[in-house]
Amino acid sequence: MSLLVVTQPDFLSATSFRFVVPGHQQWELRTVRVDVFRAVGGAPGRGYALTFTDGTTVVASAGALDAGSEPGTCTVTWCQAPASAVASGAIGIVVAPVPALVLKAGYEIIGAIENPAGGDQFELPAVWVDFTLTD
Amino acid sequence: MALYVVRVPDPAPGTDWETMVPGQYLYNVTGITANLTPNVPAAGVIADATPNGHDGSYDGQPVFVTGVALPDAGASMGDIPPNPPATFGAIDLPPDAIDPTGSVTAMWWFRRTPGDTLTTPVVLYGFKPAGTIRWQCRLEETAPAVFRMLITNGNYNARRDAAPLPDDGNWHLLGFEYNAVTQHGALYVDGTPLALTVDTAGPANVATLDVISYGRSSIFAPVLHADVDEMALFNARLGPAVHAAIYAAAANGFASYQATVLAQGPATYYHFSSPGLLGGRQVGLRVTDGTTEVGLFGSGFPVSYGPPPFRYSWSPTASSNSQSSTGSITTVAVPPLVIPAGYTVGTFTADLAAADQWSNIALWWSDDVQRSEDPNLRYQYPPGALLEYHQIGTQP
Repeated sequence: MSLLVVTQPDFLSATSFRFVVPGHQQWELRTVRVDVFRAVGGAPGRGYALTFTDGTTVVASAGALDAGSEPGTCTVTWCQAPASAVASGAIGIVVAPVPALVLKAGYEIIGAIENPAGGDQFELPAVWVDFTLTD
Repeated sequence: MALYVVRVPDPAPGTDWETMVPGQYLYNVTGITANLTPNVPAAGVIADATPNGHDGSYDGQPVFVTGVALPDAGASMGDIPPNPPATFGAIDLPPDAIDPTGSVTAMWWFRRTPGDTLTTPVVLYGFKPAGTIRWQCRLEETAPAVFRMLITNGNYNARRDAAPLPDDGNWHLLGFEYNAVTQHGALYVDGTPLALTVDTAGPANVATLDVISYGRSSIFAPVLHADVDEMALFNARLGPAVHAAIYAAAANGFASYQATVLAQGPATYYHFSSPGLLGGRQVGLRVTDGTTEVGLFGSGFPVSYGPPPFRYSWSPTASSNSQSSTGSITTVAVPPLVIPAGYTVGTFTADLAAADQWSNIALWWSDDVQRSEDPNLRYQYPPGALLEYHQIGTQP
């Protein structure tokens, strides 16, 4: 077992981020987490999507709910656990289920805010994996 | 495989707990338990839930009243900690948040003791100096007790009487409106406007609103055996649709209800509950690699308002989250947590108050993964091993 926390995405914008499995690696996914600053105007249509591709084709996806009053922050964790979305005022905590995926080199993990408000901002995305080196 | 229990020391009051996997260990977490006890500060202060940050204070008997912000049917939150008998004296609400020249809406949850007799009316009212012009929202003991509204010029010439006051021992949402444009008012019970008996006299002109007092009909007398909660005052006439929506939101849980009330921009909003339970105590289990958070796992339930302590159990093998009806026991399903040395596990509690206390924290882990990764466990001693302690040097 070789646990690794990857904090440097290949791409990060206000409403999107992307991690790419490097060459000669294989990732067994543990969690994907991200903070979201939520501006006024996104509720109730705002949501979060996590998409997995093989570099070309979508192979899996997982949605997550939004939580908390606006403006505020929400922490979203995709993992192998039941879904939940709770909040205390402007602080939201969301969990969304994803299967125990094994991702090969070149696979992508893409996060996006659906129906964002102007001013929404992804912050500090991170992927926790068990990685192995491959030929 | 061996199972171990780590007892995490209680953190300081008002702080979350955290524990780190020690060096050369690899925990396969089997379960985590902990208790959260919100502590109530000294009596006498009602904290305002609005951003105004405006605190009220009790006048008269300094007791808290019990409060359940939702009707009994379908409620998702339980009673907050019981308090002494709910006979309350007058509660002076700070007047400066209310616009004295405009429309006003007041709403609050109310539960009277069945069969209790009101000795004198309970009044929510505003008046000018010298009391010449005023509006009143009164709970009067006639046969049966009524929820009444007065808009007067001091001579009680304009009265709009309401239907009987609910007396079934259940919580009900009461609402009162004064429309400064029409100089008419309205009364609501459970989001529904009441048909009123209208006096033929003309309405009064309420020019100023200098004070709002709740709970007394005169300056001196405490009057009612009942419970009240969640009083919200608005510098506007909200109208029947909003009253209905606020009442409907209560059926979806306290978080939904509070959000709906706050969305209307109340000038003041008092929970009238144990102030230690103001914020909500939304608990998340937080896992880091020592530097970066790798997961924050919430419970999936609205904030708890039941009697403390609140017991949490995090389980990697549970298939769903669950919570007892009072919110006192919550089981949270978390993903498998195989965490090496240097990783931390702890809580992040939104709105944790200064006097809150985490306690009885235990982390239960298995060494099965560690054994498979490293059969030669660093800290395993064969039977009969003799450990000798030698002190090197002395401390000056």
